Amino acid sequence: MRDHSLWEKIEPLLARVEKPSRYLNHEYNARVDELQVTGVDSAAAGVAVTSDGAVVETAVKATYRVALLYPDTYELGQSNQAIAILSHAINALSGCVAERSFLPWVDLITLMRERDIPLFTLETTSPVASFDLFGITLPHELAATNIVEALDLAGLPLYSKDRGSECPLVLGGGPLAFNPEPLAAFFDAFVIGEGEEVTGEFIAVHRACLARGDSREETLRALATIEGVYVPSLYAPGKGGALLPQVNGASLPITKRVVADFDACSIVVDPVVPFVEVAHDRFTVEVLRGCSRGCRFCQAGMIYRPVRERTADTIVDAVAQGLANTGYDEVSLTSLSTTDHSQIEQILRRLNRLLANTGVGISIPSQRLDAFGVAMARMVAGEKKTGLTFAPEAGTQRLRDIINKNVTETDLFDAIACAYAAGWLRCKLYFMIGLPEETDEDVLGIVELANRAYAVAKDAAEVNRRSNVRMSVSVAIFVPQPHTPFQWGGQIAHSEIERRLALLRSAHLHKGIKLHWHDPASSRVEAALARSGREASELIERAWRQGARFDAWSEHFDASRWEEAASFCGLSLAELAERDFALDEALPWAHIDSGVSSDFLLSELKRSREAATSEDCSFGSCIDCGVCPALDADVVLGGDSRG
Amino acid sequence: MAEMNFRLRLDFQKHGRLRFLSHLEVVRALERMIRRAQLPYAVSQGFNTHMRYAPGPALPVGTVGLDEHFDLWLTEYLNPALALGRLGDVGLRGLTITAASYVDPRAKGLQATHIHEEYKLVIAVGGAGAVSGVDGVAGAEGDASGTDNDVGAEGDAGGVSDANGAETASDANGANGAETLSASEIVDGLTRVIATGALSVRRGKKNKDYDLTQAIDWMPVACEGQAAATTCEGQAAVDYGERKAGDIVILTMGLRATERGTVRPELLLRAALVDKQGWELKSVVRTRLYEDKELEVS
Ligand code: SF4
Repeated sequence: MRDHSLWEKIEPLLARVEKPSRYLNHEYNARVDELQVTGVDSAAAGVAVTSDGAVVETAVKATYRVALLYPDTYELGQSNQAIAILSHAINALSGCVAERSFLPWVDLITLMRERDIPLFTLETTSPVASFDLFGITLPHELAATNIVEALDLAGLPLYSKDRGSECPLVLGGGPLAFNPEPLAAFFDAFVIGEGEEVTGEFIAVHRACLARGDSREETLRALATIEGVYVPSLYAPGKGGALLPQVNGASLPITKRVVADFDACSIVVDPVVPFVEVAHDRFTVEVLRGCSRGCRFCQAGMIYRPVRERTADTIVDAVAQGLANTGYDEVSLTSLSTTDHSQIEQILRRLNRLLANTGVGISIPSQRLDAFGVAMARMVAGEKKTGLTFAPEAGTQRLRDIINKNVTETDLFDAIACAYAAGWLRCKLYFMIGLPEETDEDVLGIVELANRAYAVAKDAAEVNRRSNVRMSVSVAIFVPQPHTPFQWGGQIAHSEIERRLALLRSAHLHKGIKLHWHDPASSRVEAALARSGREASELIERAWRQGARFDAWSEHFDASRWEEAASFCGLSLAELAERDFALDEALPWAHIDSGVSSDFLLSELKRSREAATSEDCSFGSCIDCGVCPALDADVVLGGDSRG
Repeated sequence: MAEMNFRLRLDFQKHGRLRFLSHLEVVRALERMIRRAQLPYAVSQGFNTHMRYAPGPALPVGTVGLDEHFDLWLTEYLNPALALGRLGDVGLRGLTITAASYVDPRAKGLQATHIHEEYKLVIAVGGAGAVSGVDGVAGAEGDASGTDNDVGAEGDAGGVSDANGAETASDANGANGAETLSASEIVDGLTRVIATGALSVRRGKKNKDYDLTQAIDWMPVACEGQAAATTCEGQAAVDYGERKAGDIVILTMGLRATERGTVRPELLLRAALVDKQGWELKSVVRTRLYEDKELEVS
């Protein structure tokens, strides 16, 4: 068998790049077996021809191989759970292997391009183009140009329509798939929703197509019949812009997939342990999925419904196994709102007992904004009281009611008082500007709230440490997201963002508080991409041709590339970002069904205009968002009741 | 503290692909290995609780180490052979623990005692594939690879960086029959550099100066030939596969750490061959790391 490993070509380059340990594979728990299959066409039974013309026998049908890419660096991708979870699911299927791939850093990309070395996977250093399936995680809008970079570096035609059956199928999934249209031209298919189960179905259908020798067209049609799979080439916009199926068997809407039993859904307890320090360098257990607090700006809160918790037993077992298998000195209990887990107190108590005197720490990504949240943070902090994070999101109660962020000033001040009294000396507060119906009073309210929070912190802190009390305020620019109650309205105008930021900066903030804000130019690109339809594919390609990549890295982002690309395509970033959709207009993402009904979104929008809040269905009663009946799912709590 | 009485010294090797790990990455990988092996490691008390250990002198990104050391404090006695076995069960290919033994808990730290370092350098000379040394040096000076992770390493350049920016040069003129550099020319060059007693190396905009009068334990020795190449641990065969006998020079030397660290052998080599063409450093191996004998005697 021929070895298609590119390692021999990569290795000599590693002495010349930053952090070569990104590219080594061989991490603990990584698969290091030698390449077992040839790069031959797995569809051909009996014999096959390798790329250099040698005829080899394929008595046993070749393994189905999947390359899974996170379209950014190893440090970000290896910290992201998506690749680990999907690899785990795919490797559990008989005759299937998954390998990891990340976008190399620019230094290695340059060297690879000079030498015609294509994008490779880590496990066997094989060209991504030699796989049956090329799965790409779609984490956020600013990864768009990295996806194009990856396709190009892999040596694949950028557009789905230009790829033949010799190319792997290119499949996308992740949060961005909830508005797949801007990326539609690049992908053969998307999975909408949670990938754990549907990936297996997708692979089964694809393998059957390969075995039958189906054409690409036939294959795509077969894949389109799977629930939760969207094949963009089978649809085209009709009158009024709404997408219509072009072939039999392709139907709409595409309803998101959820795993049936999240608690039973296996946790990856033997993840790869990176050498290079990654963004989240710890063992991770996802303790619950979804969040039903119903903040009206929050896409995650809508698209990951319903809330499903893992039980305390499952979580504690996974932590014990995972730490033993990895040797990490920290475990993180992740989710959108970990301190909302109905058994959180019990879980933390048991973990504290388990980890006593081991030097292993527990972390919770962000804190629920009340005294309970701080009490939970205290349980895990021990002596090291670093980094508390709270998100009031808006500066005034009126605006918090509009966005349904159901926390009051009292909640915030209680939380701060508890934290600083318990010994914390710093915390981060997250806000947004540009929210619907925001006034200058709301903008200045951020500064006022922060100043008062600071005063509360100072009073609460021990007398001799008061001069060390610090706080930071981080201000993001609101990007209206699909599938939220605020999906119809555009981002506020660029000049208005600048004006409000200037207003914010001019207000008097206590000198113990540091103010950070996001770059309005990159927020605008995010908004443009989040809210566009198919017209944005060309925009993305063009921006990439202008040199855009690693746009999420502020040192690499250059707004002018996007502006030039837009004018080249006859588009305007401002228009794409700022346009309002009429309530009866066909939204570019209308064919994707997150389970949350548009009636619910609309009623939430209306309630927001009256500044009327809505309840959290995990604590209170059902508010008819539509997810449970639509997906035949239920809110699942771990055991004890909440409160 | 009674529990500090068990100081286990691990001997290990960093080789193969894992030679590209930085010092910090090696330390972290060992730490995680020790936790997986569930050795009864001691935990420091206080603000930031962490495992009690002390690594030896840093080994730069890309440099192979065959005789590296790492001290770990245990809370109870554990048979060293047992510890070695348990580490082996959860080990890493390329970061191999070769021995474990207890040392005097009151002894000075590894970085103070283990100041003698022996190196082996593999240099490709002449023929296709060997590149212009001048280009190599020039390129290497701009190289910043791995420095951010490279705690404690003197390293400006990560790993075997003489190939830096030079491969294109080799494509263009490496094969045009430049005269093959001999082992004795290399040694002569090094001898000249060492005789000056000082070395000044450009790092970015600044110069870094090394005092060579205390830095050399024993003078470089070189040999040529295929036989030597096969003994170069930690290097993929491909690096030599296409080379003929006589294309490889093996250089060994003994260096000594001073207060300001150890001068990296590749820096000496670059200075020695600054005006020579057609060579490429293929591998740097720290073959031994051992204690100051005078201290041992006292
Ligand atoms: S609490 Fe609000 S912002 Fe946070 S995940 Fe839930 S809905 Fe989103």
